[in-house]
Amino acid sequence: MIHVQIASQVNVLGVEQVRWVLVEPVEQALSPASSAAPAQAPAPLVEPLPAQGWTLTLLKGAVILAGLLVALLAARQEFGPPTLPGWLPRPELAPAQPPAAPTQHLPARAASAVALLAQQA
Amino acid sequence: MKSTTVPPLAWHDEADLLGVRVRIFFFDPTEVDTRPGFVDRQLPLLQGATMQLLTPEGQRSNYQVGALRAHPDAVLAHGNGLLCLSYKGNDGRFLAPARWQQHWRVDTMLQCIASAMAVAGDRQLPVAALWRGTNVLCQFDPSPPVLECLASHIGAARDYWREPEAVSPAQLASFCEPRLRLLPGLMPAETISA
Repeated sequence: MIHVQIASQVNVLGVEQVRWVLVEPVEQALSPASSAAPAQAPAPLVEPLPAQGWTLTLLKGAVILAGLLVALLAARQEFGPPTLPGWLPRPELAPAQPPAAPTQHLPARAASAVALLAQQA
Repeated sequence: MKSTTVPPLAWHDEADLLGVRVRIFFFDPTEVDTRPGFVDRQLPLLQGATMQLLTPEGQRSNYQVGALRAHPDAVLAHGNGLLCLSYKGNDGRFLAPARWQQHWRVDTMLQCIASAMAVAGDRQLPVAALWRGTNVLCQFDPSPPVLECLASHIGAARDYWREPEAVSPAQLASFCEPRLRLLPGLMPAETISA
């Protein structure tokens, strides 16, 4: 350890009232790996992500995927199933059905049928 | 033989700031800056004292203790010890005698103490930390917790700043300032500007 003395007072003749502290020498302050291999290439500045960083990355990906899924479902609900030319063709439409018979006139037809049956009787 | 007592220097004010006893002397720079001698100009409170610059004025030397390396603006031999003086890099601000504590720069103070530690460890002599501002001369008397904090965090600061060999006083001061503000018994941090 290196002895370090800091003076508390200064006067016209010198310094006085010394405080001292110990400082670690440079051989111990340097790590054994760096002192033993000074020519070693410096460590990369970009460190691997810690565990917390990986968790955050996975969470970001899950949020992005969920948003994409919601967008696809909304588009399917609004515009129908997705189509791609030559790969996902547009689904065949069902054949046109004849228009249904109007039902508002049924009571009148039933009345005329009843009258016709009465005449035949 | 009767021992003679040396009168203390006539500091104008002093205060404890973040565990450091700061003694301050105000002067008129328009008159002091015109003085020819280095000591008379940079250390107006010690005008006429006998001391010797270790390196010529304007030149700086390396001083290292452990993994702390400093290039102080000037180091002077003064009696039984050394004076480590910082006077360059001043922001030019005038400190008013009534409100100098409100405009105090803790980082500057800690840098000066770290530089003095490097000089003291390198030369193995007692060193006083001094700072000469635009219109003030200050002497810093760090308390044991401050010295211990600076000395014990040199390695951690070097790792933090990714310095392969040594940290500068500015790097060590920046690393230790938030830790000093958390130490119990020192002045509340909100009263000191950064």
